[in-house]
Amino acid sequence: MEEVLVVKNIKKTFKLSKKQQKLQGSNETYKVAVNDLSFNLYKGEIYGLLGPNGAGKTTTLRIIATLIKADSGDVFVNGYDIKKEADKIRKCIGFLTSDLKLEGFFTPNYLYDFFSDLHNVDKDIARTRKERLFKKFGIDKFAEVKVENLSSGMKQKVSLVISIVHDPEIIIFDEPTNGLDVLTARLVMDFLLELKNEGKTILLSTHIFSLVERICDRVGIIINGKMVCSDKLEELIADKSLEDVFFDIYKNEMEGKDL
Amino acid sequence: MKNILTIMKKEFARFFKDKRMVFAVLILPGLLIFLVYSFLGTNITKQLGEDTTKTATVYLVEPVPVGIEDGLNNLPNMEIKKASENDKIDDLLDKIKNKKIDIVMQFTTASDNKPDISIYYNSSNTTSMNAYTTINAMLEAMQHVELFHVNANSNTIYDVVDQKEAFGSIFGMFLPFLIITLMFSSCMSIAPESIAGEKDRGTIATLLVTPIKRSELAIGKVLSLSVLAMLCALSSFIGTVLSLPRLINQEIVDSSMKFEFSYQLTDYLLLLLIIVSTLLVLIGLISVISSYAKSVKEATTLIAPLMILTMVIGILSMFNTNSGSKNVGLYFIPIFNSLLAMGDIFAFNIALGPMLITIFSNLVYASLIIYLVTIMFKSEKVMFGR
Ligand SMILES: Nc1ncnc2c1ncn2[C@@H]1O[C@H](COP(=O)(O)OP(=O)(O)OP(=O)(O)O)[C@@H](O)[C@H]1O
Ligand SMILES: [Mg+2]
Repeated sequence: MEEVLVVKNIKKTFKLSKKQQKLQGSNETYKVAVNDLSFNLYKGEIYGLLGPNGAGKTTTLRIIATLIKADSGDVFVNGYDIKKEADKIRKCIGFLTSDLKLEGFFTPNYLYDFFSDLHNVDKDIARTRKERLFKKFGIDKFAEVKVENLSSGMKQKVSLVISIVHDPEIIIFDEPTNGLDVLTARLVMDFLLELKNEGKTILLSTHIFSLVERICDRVGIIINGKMVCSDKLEELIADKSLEDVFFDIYKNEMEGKDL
Repeated sequence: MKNILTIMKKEFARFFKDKRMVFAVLILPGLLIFLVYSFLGTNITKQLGEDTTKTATVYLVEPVPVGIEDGLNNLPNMEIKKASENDKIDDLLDKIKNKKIDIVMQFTTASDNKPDISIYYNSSNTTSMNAYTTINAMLEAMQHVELFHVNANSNTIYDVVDQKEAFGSIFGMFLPFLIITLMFSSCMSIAPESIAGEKDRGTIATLLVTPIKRSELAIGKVLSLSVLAMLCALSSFIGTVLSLPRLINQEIVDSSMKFEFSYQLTDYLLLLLIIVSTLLVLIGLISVISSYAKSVKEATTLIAPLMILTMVIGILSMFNTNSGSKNVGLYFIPIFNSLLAMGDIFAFNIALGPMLITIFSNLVYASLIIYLVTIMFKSEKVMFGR
């Protein structure tokens, strides 16, 4: 199978300011967010990252999406080295995370065209794609409403659609169904499967076990910045539910630490 | 290149589609300036920053009535000279106009046998004006009303001021400061919001995952902000020009009925180039600070010292404008050079060298600053530091 994403021993340490130390209630000046983490993605699969709050999921995804740099380790996307060819990587990934915001002053319609332009998408292709996606997510009725006036669910859908204006090969979604109602979450889930069927590779992080159970081919569990388990979904849930598997692994990990 | 345009287009759309923004940034400043200046109608003192203790050169055209010469010799800061027979009165008046000499006194006998004293002076020359006042005071003390007529001929123009020059020197002193202040506040009203604000709200991060280069983003931002700041400064400028008649010393406006606005097209073009190059520097500086700041509020706080510095430089330059030839090196100092250059243009005192130095050094500084903004946009600490 073709490896489209290789993450090798990446490490990311954040320096904590005085204010952050106070907020976290510790005197440590550093926070190791990602610690020697490795995994890979094969073409056409959906890989789910699970982990408790603060485990380092978002940090990992931000590193892969070229927003921040790992202190050490390697990342290859479609064979491109993230240290040397970040611009090429940006062309072939679509990244969605809650701290990438859209300018509230503009309408979904304007923003879609703007990002299509930045991604150099052909005008005609962009238009048909926009129509299809807007319709699919029910954005068409709100296409001319300023983003700041949209409901948070609608904003999330617009963000999602805009993150894939360029029809990327690799899609990286950080908690894509966070804050969506059941119906919309279902819509997103079906959409992800649809993308998979088109041959896209998808990496997502989530806290929702049912989502992982339904659509993921493989699962990685991150605890304290470490990948403690990366396996095929079928094998993980052979005799227990995913939630139970997760709890067992988590308990093991924490006991190991205490001892 | 295409990406820079895309960014600029978005920045313009953000600005012009926002009616409140257009009003607050484009219309309000000009309107306020017009209203404030029109209602205040202050007299801007011409003496600002000039040396008041310089010795005045006073020429006497013979014959000089007895007593007057002795009186003049006793006055402070005055060098009394007798005009030789070769000196024509018109030449002397020209010298007053060019500030080579300060006063010419001519004595004739009027029909009623009282001596008629003509005192020629130049109201745009402080030394001349001071001497004129002193001499008048002396004649007053001599009870001249009974003894002689002073500047009594209503057909003679005793003030041999060069209107264009007088106008220009007031402009040259005052306007550059005003313009730089307006430019600064224009930049202040848009750049922090567009850079620190977008950073704070997480909308720049969305751009950073697209294939656009950091340099393109930085250049697109700085250029579009410069254009907007330019428009904003223009609004203030129009407001100023419209209120000028009341702003400038009433005397001069009255006596300049025949005066024509005699700046040439090239003057305006030079001014435009100076303004544009200065705006790039200012917007650049403010962009650097805005990129560093984590929020609009922090940016505004950090920009305040720069603003005060600019004001101080502006005031310093006011005292520098009328002092004749200046050290060319001064035209390499950012902001100060723009003030000097604008002063020169307004005072009809243009030398090509300093103008070119100003424009090109500003462009070089602006490029360096934009490069710095690019580096900052690439920095994870700057863009995502918490
Ligand atoms: N810019 C930063 N500066 C300092 N610390 C950071 C920064 N970004 C993340 N961290 C810290 O790194 C750790 C991992 O954060 P991350 O956002 O990757 O977790 P996560 O797995 O996505 O959690 P969640 O499920 O809550 O989204 C956390 O302790 C967080 O506080
Ligand atoms: Mg997260």
